[in-house]
Amino acid sequence: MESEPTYRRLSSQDLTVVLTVSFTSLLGLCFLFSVPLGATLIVAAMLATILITYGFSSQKTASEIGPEVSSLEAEQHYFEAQANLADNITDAVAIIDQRERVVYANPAAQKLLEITSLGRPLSTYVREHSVKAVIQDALQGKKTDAITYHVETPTESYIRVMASPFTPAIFDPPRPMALLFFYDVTEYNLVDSQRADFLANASHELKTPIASLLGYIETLQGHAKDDPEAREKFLGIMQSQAERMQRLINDLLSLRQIEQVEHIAPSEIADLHLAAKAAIEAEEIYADKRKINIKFETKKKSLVIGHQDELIQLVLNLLDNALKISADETQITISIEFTDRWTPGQAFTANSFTQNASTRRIVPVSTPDKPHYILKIRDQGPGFSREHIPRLGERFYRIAGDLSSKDKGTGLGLAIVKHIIRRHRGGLLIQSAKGEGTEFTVILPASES
Amino acid sequence: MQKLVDHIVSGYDDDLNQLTNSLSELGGLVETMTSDSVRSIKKRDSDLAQKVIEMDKRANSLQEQIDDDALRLMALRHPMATDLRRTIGAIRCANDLERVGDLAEGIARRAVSINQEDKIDLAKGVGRIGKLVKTQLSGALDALLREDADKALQVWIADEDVDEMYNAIFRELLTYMMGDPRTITACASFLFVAKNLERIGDHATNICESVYFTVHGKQLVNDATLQGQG
Ligand SMILES: Nc1ncnc2c1ncn2[C@@H]1O[C@H](COP(=O)(O)OP(=O)(O)OP(=O)(O)O)[C@@H](O)[C@H]1O
Ligand SMILES: [Mg+2]
Repeated sequence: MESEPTYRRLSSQDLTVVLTVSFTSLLGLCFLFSVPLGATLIVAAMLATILITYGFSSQKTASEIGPEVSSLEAEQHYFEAQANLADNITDAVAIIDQRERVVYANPAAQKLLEITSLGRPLSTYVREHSVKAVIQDALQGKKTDAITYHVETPTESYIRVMASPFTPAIFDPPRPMALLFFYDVTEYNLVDSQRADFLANASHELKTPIASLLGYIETLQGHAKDDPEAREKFLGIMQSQAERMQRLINDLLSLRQIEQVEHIAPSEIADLHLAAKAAIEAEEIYADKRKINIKFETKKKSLVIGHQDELIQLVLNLLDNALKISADETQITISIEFTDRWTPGQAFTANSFTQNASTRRIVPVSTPDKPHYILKIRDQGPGFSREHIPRLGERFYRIAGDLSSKDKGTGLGLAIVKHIIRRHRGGLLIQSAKGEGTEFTVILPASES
Repeated sequence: MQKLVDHIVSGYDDDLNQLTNSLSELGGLVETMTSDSVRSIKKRDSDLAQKVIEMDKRANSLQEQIDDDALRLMALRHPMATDLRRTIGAIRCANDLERVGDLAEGIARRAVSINQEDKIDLAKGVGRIGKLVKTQLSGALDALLREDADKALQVWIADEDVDEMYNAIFRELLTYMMGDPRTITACASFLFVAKNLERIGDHATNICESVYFTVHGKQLVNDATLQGQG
């Protein structure tokens, strides 16, 4: 009994459990679900019904196939068909036994709860006390109400759980189990608090430039009325203030847009290499003007699971910062690498700093086992001093004394970067040494193909 | 064909499951205590603080239960290798979690007295470190329950950020106190809270070290393959 005593990797075989649902519990389920629980629940119940009834009909054919086909083969066909079907259920379904061990989890449940092997107790994945109470009731055959719980990592989300008792017919004596449905209801719960945040942020940050605009208008109406030179100067300042407000509003809007979908990881495929190229092209003129050389040598396609436009915005924000902070005639290096498996120490073993660089994982990687692409942006700017590093990525955090960027920036660039990366289930690291520059490292899950 | 539900469950596996369940419950409890204690300061909610103080009793009794279960398991079943490390790990982690509970209780008690004073706007920094520490604690618990050594390593490394943030808050509060001596009492309370949070972060790293040891059988701090990764 070395490690992993009863735990087993997930396979299509695990679907057997589903076909053991008895007709009575099926009817019970339909009844239970279709009562007052809203449209999503009904759809889920219908999908479950299809899965379960399908399980029954094909169970018969499997046993009717007879001796010509080996029973093993028949079983395999059967499970493949089942696996395809269960893949299509978008809601998360899991079954737990008397000992609260997860004996079945469909792909959606595996993803939502990050289940990697069957046989561990549900409490491995869900620590919420209220959930424990509900499943214990269900295991004792009691009907329970759906409850909603809140998780803060990796992204803030709300999950609604329904548990109903069910007893598979195949066991004698019967073994009562519980069937669990999980729904991500983050959208309904987060929207309100985010809207409030948004309004608070927007009004707070717009107050200062508006006050200063009003101040200039007053001066223009007053003693600067007949002074053409002062008028020109003030109008110039007013224009840049107004432009700053415009940028601020745009940034706030894109931040909010990303926040709203943050709990849904993108499912499409994007090319990180193309994104970097697009970002570089957008900044080329500005970089040339200041004789800053942007070195980007990677030529290969780098396919990640992601949203192309968001990735462009991500690189653009980082590059924009690097350019703003860099002195003329310096160099910015961008590179993309591939790794089979991300290890947290990886970024620090081969770094380009001579002294001990301060480091921080602004967003830690949540799926180190999978292949990733790593994008690095290294500048030769002033670097961060230690005390600023913990606060990077916070909204509106600008570094005081850093006047040029304080004027132009809104302090939302890195917050947007952080949210994009969180949505992509990626990672963001920063390393910086005073006087040597800064390196931002973005780690994104590679697409399978 | 092997069906998981048909597995004969040995009493032994059952005991290990029971340990996981209790650790999960204790973990969930002290997680709530940590975030609620910070929230009771941010929202000036003394009732919430009172609830946190009460939760500590449950945390203590859960820890005792885990200790008893683990000791009984060792005495009756003589676990070997990984299972032995698992059992010892459970005792160690339960101990750390119980301390986290105590520290959160300490914060809640301080919250009650802070909330009686006039409002000063210092809760922000505490909220920040609180959020980070809560993430660390949740990460450590995820690593513990899933026996995920990589995750453990990741959380362990990130403890540096907590220390850095604590130092930043320390400096900030010091500036306040020097600037206006009337804020000294309040600032001292906030310092105490920040220190407790930083120590909760330390217990999260202890848990990570235990997880690493359970999985690999080596001490994280001594693992040669990790040298130089600071
Ligand atoms: N590569 C870098 N090197 C040194 N300091 C940086 C670097 N990138 C960002 N910073 C500092 O971090 C702060 C926050 O950056 P962020 O991108 O969030 O805001 P911003 O650039 O000021 O505004 P925005 O990007 O919204 O226009 C900035 O004040 C800037 O001084
Ligand atoms: Mg920026």
